[in-house]
Amino acid sequence: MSLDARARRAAQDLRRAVNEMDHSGPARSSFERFDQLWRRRQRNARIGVILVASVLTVAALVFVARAIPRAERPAAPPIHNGRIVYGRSAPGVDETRLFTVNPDGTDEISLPVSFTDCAEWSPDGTKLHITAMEYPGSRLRPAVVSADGTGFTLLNATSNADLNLGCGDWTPDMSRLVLEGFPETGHPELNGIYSVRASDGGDLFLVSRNPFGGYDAVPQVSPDGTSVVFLRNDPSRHLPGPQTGALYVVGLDGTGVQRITPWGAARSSGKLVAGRPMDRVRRSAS
Amino acid sequence: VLERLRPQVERPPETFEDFYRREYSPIVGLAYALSGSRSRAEDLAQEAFFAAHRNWERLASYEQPGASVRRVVANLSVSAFRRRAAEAKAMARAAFGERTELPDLGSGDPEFWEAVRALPHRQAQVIALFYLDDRPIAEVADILEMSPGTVKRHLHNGRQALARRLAIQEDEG
Repeated sequence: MSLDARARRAAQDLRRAVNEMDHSGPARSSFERFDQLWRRRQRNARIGVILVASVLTVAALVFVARAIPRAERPAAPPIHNGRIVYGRSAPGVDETRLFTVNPDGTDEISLPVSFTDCAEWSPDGTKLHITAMEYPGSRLRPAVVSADGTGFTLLNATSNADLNLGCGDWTPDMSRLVLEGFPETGHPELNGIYSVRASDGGDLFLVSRNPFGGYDAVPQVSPDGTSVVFLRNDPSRHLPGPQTGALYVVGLDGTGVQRITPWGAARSSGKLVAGRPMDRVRRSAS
Repeated sequence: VLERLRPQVERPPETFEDFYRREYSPIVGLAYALSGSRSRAEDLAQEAFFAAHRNWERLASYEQPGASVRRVVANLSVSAFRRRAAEAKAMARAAFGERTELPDLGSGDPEFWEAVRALPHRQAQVIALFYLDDRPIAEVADILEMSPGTVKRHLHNGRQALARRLAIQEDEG
């Protein structure tokens, strides 16, 4: 048998086998099954397009968010709870008590804390960061208390017995507090800006040490949470008056410290150095 | 060369369903001849019909819309990527409890088609289309988008190779 004859006979056999297959297996070869598979494939393709579009959208948003310098991001809008916090000192008594009150003077609540020195609303307006002592004469430690006076928690996880942690500010995400630190006796190297965990006061981190032997005070966290501005004092300059120095900025991670005002000019440079925090009324969600 | 593929506007277009019913068996046969597996052949045919369905509005105006499907099958059947995809699909079917391999077609001369599949791809495609589809040289050339002369050369070389492999005295040109 020639190759051509064998090829034609093999082709004829295969065609017959395919035709018989078609009769014996209608489910796989039917147009209805094809149409069903086609619709499923179209649906899967649509789902795929949606998934790809979603992934691309998320990726684009992440890319844009990262492309915007952090400092240019708009700060979170303040949360308004409408209440004012203020301190009241009794004449002749070295003790300050804190109160919150509505702007119209009603519903004054005395916070059940004493030995406080300053207070700062949390970004969401639900808590106050205050400075407190575990007992008279003990080191200053940060504490938090709810706006209604409940839930007072002394954040005394810091073990350094010579370090006082005074006034400070919240980070925007409320995870940490940035505080002014100073020694109880001697140890000028303890002067500086510190941060601690807002939940328990642990994880003490020295953000910036005062190299002049003076104090660092009233740290304020930038709205984007990346840096801290504070007053730095240099006793060798003999600047007139209290709370005198220069404004400094430092990254919250301790990097990039730099002076941003001339020496002596910080005294009247606004909120930060208007005086000791308790010298002025602080209102919530201003 | 592509005269038969050019749009013909005179006749009313065939529905895709009619086209599918008419062409399914010969397309699966072609795919089987080139792949050697019924499951793979049906998968290849399905892929080719999917492609035709997507472009049916255009293909329906062609005189021989089946040529496009045959070209897709011929190309897919020799694609290494397609083979791997078909194997993956078979494994997936096994994982979901479906039959992994359909009964063989039991063609009368499996040795011949095995020899065809052992040929270089183009030769195998030409042999399958020429004998199985019983198409003249010009139509095979249309389908595979090559000149009739090239088809003749592949056909001649394929026949010579098949004759040697099958130990047949080939006396045709």
